[in-house]
Order: sequence, then C-alpha cells, then structure tokens
Amino acid sequence: MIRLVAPNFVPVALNTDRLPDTDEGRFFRNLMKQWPQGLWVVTPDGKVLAHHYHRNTPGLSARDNAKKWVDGTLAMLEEAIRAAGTLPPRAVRAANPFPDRGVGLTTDGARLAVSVIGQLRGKQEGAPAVDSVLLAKDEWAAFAPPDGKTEWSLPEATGKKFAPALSHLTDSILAPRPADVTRAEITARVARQADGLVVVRYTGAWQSRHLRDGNEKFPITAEATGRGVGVYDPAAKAMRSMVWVLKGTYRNGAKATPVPTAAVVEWVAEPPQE
Amino acid sequence: MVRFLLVLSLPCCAFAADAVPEREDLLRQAAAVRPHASGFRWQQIPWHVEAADALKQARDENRPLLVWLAGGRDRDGSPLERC
Repeated sequence: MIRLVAPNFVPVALNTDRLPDTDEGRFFRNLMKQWPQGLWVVTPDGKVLAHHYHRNTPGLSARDNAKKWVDGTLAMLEEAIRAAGTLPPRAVRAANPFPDRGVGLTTDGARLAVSVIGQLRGKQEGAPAVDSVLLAKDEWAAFAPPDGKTEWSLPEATGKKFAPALSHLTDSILAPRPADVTRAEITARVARQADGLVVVRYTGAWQSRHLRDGNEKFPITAEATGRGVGVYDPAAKAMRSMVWVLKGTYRNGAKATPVPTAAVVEWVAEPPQE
Repeated sequence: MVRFLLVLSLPCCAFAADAVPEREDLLRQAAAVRPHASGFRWQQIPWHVEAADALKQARDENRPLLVWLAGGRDRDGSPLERC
C-alpha cells in the first residue's frame, strides 16, 4: 500500500469535524456528499477517481474482515492509478505530521505519545492504537516537583487526560474521553536527586465508563493502573523526560469478556541523539 | 526511514545525561508492550494534515490526492491517531 500511495498521490488525512470554513475545506467537504468517511482519490480540480469505505461482512471473522479491508483498499488504489493515467514518480521523503508528539513542548503545553495494545495470553492481539495526551501548560507543570515538596498528588482533571491510554481500539467511538473517566488518581514522589537531576516516580489508577452512541444497552468500561518515571531539571525548571507503562482491562459491552490492555505514554524534551 | 519510525513512534531515548536507571528499567518494561513496528508502516507515507497544504501541493504537482476522511463524532484529533 505504501508502494502504491507515496509515489503516486499527495496523501492527506483530515478530521471531518474540523474542516476549515475555507475554499480548501469546502473542497474536501464536497467529497462527503458521496459518503461521510473513507478513502478517496481525487484530482486537484475535484474529480473523484476512486472511493472506498470498508464495511464488515457479517459472519466473517475479524481477521477475514481485516483482510477484506486491506484487499478493498488495494483494489481502490490500483483502480485510481489506472484512472489517473501516466503520473511522473514523486521524490518522496518521509515526514512526521506531528513533530511535537512525544517530543518537546507545544505552544499550549506538551503532547505525550500514547500507544495501546490489546493482549491475548500476554501478547499483542490486533492492531495498536496510537494517540496523544494533550496537556495544557498548567497540567504539564503539575508533573514537576512543587517547591518544597517531595510527594504530591496531581489534580484529577490532569489525570483524566490519560483517557486515550485506556482503550486499545482505534475507533474513537469505542475509546473513552477525559469526560468519561470516573476515577483518575496520579501521585508523585521524588525518588532521588543526583547529577543535577530529580527522578520522580509516579503511580496512577484510572476507571472509565461511557455509552456507545449514548445507548444504555452498550456500556463500555475500562480500568488501568500505571507506573511512571519522570526526570526533572531543577536548574532549568523543566522536565527532561517521562515514561509510563499502564496495564488494564477494557470491556466493550456489559457482558463482554474483558480484554487485557497495555499502554506506553512517553515524552522527551529533545529528539533522540543521532 | 527507520530513524523516522523511531522518532514518530518510539520517542524512548533521552540523551546520555538522562541515563537514569529507574527510567531505563521502565523503558525495558515498555519495550515488552510496545506495538510491533509493523503496525506503524503506514506512517511512512508522508501525510498532510492541513487541507490547504495538501491541496496546494496537489495543484503544484498536478497530481491526485489520496484523501482519508474520518470523524463525525465532534472530536478533536486526526485519523492518523483517533478522531
């Protein structure tokens, strides 16, 4: 799929609820008249060359439906390449669309990188979910040792921001949002100070509950506990790094078997050295 | 390409001054539950996340766009994560 996309098309991924009210936003909004979600190949003047939206086939296993999804997408891309005619190859360079994900500070605070997996018998089962924990400046500051304190608790509202780490499913309807978190407790303790740095240990516990599509018949619950380590530079008054590992369970439906989950939440002040 | 994957999906390695044993120990635990790198290959595609930038490049190159649209639940975020 990468081989088909990168050399042939200009790829763009957009949130349909956040399209700008501009000519460019309207260009993409027009595609939704055909269907509200999916993949399109469209020329710069608006001609749709191909479209694909996957629907699971009832009765097929999850694995077979996933294969069907991939096969359908590949077929769509190949159809689009034929329809586009001769295209000169692109000189493509990999690019990071979220350079502040897990690295450095944002204008508003910090963006922690999240990855979550579901597990079966202790091993990853299914595709991972990637996400971010977006922290405002005051929320990010709460992870640093307050003056004169070696133990402290973070505000519950800050803890609730870890909601993306509670679900391994990529569909956002199945993932709790901060408002769905019913319990979020993060405590911090200075473990030691050495070489001009302060090492902080964090512990956390979370629970969430929300309803799929607001329907009481479909409650979705998650819970997790986690441990984190932060490194703080008191001279610079700045965090240097933070990493968390969360373990929990996720239940999609009142009678569903809980699925074990594991999440990594992390951040560094500067990119890795080359 | 491998380095790009590390930066995007595995921001695990602080610089040498922060070789803190407690952090290294937790990173080892994190390694055991990190997603397989194969789960992130699609991130090698140079995705745009701004409508205007993507359309401008497509027009400059006179080249079709591959458009991934997702949402409908009034959430922030990007299809490249969850929205």
